[in-house]
Amino acid sequence: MVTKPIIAALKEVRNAVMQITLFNALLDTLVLFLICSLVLILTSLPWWYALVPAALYGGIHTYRNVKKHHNLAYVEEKVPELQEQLITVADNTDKENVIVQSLQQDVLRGMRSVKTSYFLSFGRLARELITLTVVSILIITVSAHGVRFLDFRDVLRDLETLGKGPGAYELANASLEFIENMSEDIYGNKTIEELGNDEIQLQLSPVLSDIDISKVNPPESKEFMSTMPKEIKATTDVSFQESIPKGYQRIVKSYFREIAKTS
Amino acid sequence: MRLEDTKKTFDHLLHEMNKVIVGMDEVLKQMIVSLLTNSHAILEGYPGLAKTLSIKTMAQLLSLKFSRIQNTPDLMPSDITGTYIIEETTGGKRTFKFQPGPVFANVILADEINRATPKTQSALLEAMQEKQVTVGNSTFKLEEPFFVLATQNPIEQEGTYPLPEAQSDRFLFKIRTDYPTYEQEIEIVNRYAEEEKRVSLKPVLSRDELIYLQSLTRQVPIASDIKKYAVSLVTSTRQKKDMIEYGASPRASIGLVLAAKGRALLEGRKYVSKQDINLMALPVLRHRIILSFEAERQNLHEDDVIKQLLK
Repeated sequence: MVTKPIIAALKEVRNAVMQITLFNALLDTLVLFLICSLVLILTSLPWWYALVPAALYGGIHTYRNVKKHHNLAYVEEKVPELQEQLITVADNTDKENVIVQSLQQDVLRGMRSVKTSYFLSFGRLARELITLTVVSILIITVSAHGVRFLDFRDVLRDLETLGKGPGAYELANASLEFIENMSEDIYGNKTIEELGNDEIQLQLSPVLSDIDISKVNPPESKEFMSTMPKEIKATTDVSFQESIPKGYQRIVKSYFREIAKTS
Repeated sequence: MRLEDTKKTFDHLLHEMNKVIVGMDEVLKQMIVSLLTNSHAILEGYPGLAKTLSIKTMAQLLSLKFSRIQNTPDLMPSDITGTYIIEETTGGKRTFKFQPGPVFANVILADEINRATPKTQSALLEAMQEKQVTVGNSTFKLEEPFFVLATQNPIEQEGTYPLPEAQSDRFLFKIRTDYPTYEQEIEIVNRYAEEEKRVSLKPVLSRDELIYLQSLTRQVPIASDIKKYAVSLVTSTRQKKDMIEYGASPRASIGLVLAAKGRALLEGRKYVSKQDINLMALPVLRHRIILSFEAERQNLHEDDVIKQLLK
């Protein structure tokens, strides 16, 4: 019974190809991430912005590579000795006859010679590792010396200003902001709060707000009633009468004296 | 016979056939595939291209019962199937006894099949499809293996009756024989126009061995993609309306996959390759399609259109 070993072998090959595909995709993504990080650092933008393109590229690249490589045709392409045999065996694992069994044995024999290196492009791997090293060194150097080619935020700000044009009316943003004021001195009694904190859009009618000078009356004199108390007396505070240990009495006394001076 | 020995057996068979036949390797291979798939084949070619000789040679190399039917317009169905004859016993009692015709053999050479009348041609139909013969009220089972290897001449028009589509569909292959090359023709002249050398042929395959090889042929595994490719090829003959008026039937799909399996076994492979399908597409499909007027106007042949489909 050779069916079980062949199924296990096919699974093993698929897993090996999957691991290599994921590794390659990870390496590609890492290269892209580091290059993006370098560019961001040189333009004074936060380095972690590079995570966005890297994540997007990593996701799409991995999906496409897995879809492309996670089949036995890819293995056959890399191992010409197994051309057309591997897929035939995989498609006929449920069959058992003399020829199928013999083919399974041939394929198993052929698979023994399959090496992981068949699926790795050493030239590409070397190029990527060199790129990774060079870009990493550049990032460290640039960060250590604070090298910046341009401040991207400044550029954006300048562009924003340019975009408005010379004749544009600049409205002070601060005047349009809603500020919640808690002071009763200005807004009077707290019961006004019952109106809530929602911004109220008020429009002043110029007709009503215009001052008619002819209707302005001369100032009126008002008389105020005095409400002064008849007698004023002072008493000591409870804390003053507390039993304070002798050692501290002087300190407390000088403390209150100093308070009296400042007030 | 061991599985490993099959290739040697086929090589030996081809080697023996090449002692008689010159430069017809592909034709001989297609004939062997026809045997392996337990199917019938029709050889079409101009006169003098060793069609009959190659079938006779093959029959000699198989330890099988061989019979030849020379088709003519006056050939009757009973001349093929057999008939009841009156037999007189020693006591003077007369009884009907069935006298089997030439169809009761393993390998039938139906020479110049298109010269027989449609009625006689159709007498072969039941034998080819059902592998049985009905005469009167009795049905007789034919012995396995049973092959009809027919020949026909494409240039004879007078006094010929082209095979109806239903009957030509019964043949797995329509094998075309072509003229030999100059060097091959020199070799043919050397062999047959000079001193007569008798080539002694010994049977290479016994009946049981052939039946075993036939069972092995069906066991050859095929990948799903290649199977789909074969079926797509056959179905495309039904979709290419500009060139093909009538496409091939599903029987062609079965035949193509089976023929590819036979070809793989013949080449000593344990799996079907895409190349096997491509090689077998021409003999399997060429007699199963009817070209459109447009294709004929462009002077295209069946093979040209099939080659277009293969691209």
